[in-house]
Amino acid sequence: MNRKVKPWIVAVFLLPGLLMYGYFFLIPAIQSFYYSLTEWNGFKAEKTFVGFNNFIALARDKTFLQALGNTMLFLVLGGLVVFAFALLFTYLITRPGFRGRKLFSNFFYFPNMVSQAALAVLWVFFFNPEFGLLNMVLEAVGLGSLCIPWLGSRLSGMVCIIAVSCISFVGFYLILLLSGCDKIPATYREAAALDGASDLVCFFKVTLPLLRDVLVISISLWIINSIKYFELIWAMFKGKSTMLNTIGTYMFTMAFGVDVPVFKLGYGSAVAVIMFLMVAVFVGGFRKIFDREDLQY
Amino acid sequence: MKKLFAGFLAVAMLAALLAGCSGGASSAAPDPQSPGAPADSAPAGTDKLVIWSYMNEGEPISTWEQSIVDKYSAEYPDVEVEIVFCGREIASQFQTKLNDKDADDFPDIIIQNTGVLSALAREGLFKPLDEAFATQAYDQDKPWGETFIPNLIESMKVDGTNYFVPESMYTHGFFYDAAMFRSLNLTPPKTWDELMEVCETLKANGIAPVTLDGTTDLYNEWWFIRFAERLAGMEKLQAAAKGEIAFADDPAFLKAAEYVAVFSQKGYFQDGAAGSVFPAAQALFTQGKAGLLFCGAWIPTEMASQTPPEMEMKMFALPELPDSVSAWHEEIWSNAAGITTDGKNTENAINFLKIFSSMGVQDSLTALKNPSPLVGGPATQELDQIESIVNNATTISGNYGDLQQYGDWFVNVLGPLSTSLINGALSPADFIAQLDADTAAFNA
Repeated sequence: MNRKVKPWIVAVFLLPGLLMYGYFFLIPAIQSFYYSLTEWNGFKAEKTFVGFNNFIALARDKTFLQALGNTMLFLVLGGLVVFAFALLFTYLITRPGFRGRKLFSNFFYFPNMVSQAALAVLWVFFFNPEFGLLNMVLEAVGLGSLCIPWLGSRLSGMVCIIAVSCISFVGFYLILLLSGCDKIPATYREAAALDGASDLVCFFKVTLPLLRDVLVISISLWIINSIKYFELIWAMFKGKSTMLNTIGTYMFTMAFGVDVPVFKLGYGSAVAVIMFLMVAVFVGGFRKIFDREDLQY
Repeated sequence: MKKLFAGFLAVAMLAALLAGCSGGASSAAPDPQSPGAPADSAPAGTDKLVIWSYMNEGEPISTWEQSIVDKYSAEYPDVEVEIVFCGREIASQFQTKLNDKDADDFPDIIIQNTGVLSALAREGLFKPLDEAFATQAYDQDKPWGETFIPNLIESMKVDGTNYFVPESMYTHGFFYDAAMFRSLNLTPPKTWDELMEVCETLKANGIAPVTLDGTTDLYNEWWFIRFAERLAGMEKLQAAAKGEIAFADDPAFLKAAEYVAVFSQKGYFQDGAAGSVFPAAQALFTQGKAGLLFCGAWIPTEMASQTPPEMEMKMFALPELPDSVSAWHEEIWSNAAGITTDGKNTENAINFLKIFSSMGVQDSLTALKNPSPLVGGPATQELDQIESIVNNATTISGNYGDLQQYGDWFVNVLGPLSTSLINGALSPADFIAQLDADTAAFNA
């Protein structure tokens, strides 16, 4: 016998969650759009409506454009590194006869569980040019000529930030890809193996195409996370290095000042709106291009 | 078994949630029988006082502030005092609280750096204290305002009005190890040439002359600002920051940039300074791997736990520069307390701040290596020169040449360009040209 759930019962159970979602997310998000059209320091109720002036100013703001460039570098280069390693580990772990899947999955996921603030302290000292572990090791193995002030230039600094962030993120996307692999019936791989396909060919010709849906979701998540990325960079530099800002840290600096009394909530909100639009366009466009009908096994 | 484990996890998480929801530090009124409470003390005004401090709980100064609260509570037992250690993001928390001015826990007093407080005073968020400063001090026979070092109070005024009570006193200069200097037969330099000789001697002895966190824009721009204050003067510096004149219009600004560039050109910074992240430079200094640190007078407090006992940390002012228009311009500022306009307990706040800034509590303040803001206040070994530096200043300003008031120009234009200059990525001439170009674009 089919039991239909009455709609009002569903509504009652959904309502608390929806109310919280609306109050703590939707309303502030809509308010952000409004604040982005104003000049407001947050200390007085009065806001001066300035239309799109904040967005025009952002288009001419060298520091914002530099932060945007850093964010895009993080998104593209970081994405390539993260997914290259995640796919490599997926291939290695899903090979037939591989033992220790749980151990290795946990091992790679562990950095993701460590607080970014704690990692920031570690990495700042790791990259220190005078007493950091990296330069000390390079000198010890006779590669002292490679010792540079790693965080002293925009390019090397961003590469270092991307490298340490990827260590944290690879495990998370590996778990997603492994769970996607688990849904693929083994019969497909077995059939390919019977036809003489090697493990590598199996992975590229069978597993990867069938992982497409999971990859699309994972890459969408990566796009969102990298555009709003904040924690590690803030914990490392606390906004003190303009050159290594991302748009997340720049938004915080402009809105709330911290060391310097810059209280431009309207301007910061404009940056937040741009972040939202970037996520909407990139993720929406990406899914539009790569989405497909659900596969039925 | 699984259900039992899941139940245990749920209880543990709930317990952690409840434990984390405990409130901030507060000082309940002490036992009226306590020896500290004078028999004839009377409560003033309402029965509450709310103080917000930008210290984090556990920092040495927070412990000192708590002791002041305890002293106040002993004298005014009927006033309930709540002190909240908000951390450095106190201003953004205050922004949120301004939406709830009627709240019982709306702060009456905010303790922060005057660079930030001044911006808030200009918004009308703090009460003027000129009248209160004319009243009797807590434990000195003179008006309250006259107990403070004159140049300090002058530098803290906003548009000619007093809004803040200093907690300490800071200036900016070179920190050094007197024991290291003695071993190398060095004395604190008074002129630019003497400073160069000190740097050369340190370098010849395998010690990095000056330590720098090259990634920290805020400290990097301080170099150019300090030199520009001396060589061009405050009026021109402020005018150039606002875009009213060009930096290129006055050769003194180029000269200031050239002085800054000398340090990287002659290799006076530690190896890899460009990639050093705060607070690595300070750590190098206390480890004895660098001879000089150009920073604010909070360094002895901040580095107290890392300073070895054999180090004799001391300070000297930026030496006199040739062709200065103000040979001994000094920056003087403070962590300070202001009474909020919308606070409800003004009289209690004034009474608290009188105790807060009394002579009787200065010893405990300077024991934390924090300079006293009072005339004749006790000195610390590290900062025994500070009162003389401040009193002998030919002209004064707040920290960073008062340029923090131009918030986003200061952060987005001067900061990154100064970093490029000090790390040798930009020549002095290119620095001035770019500074003018970016300032013009900013003001367009």
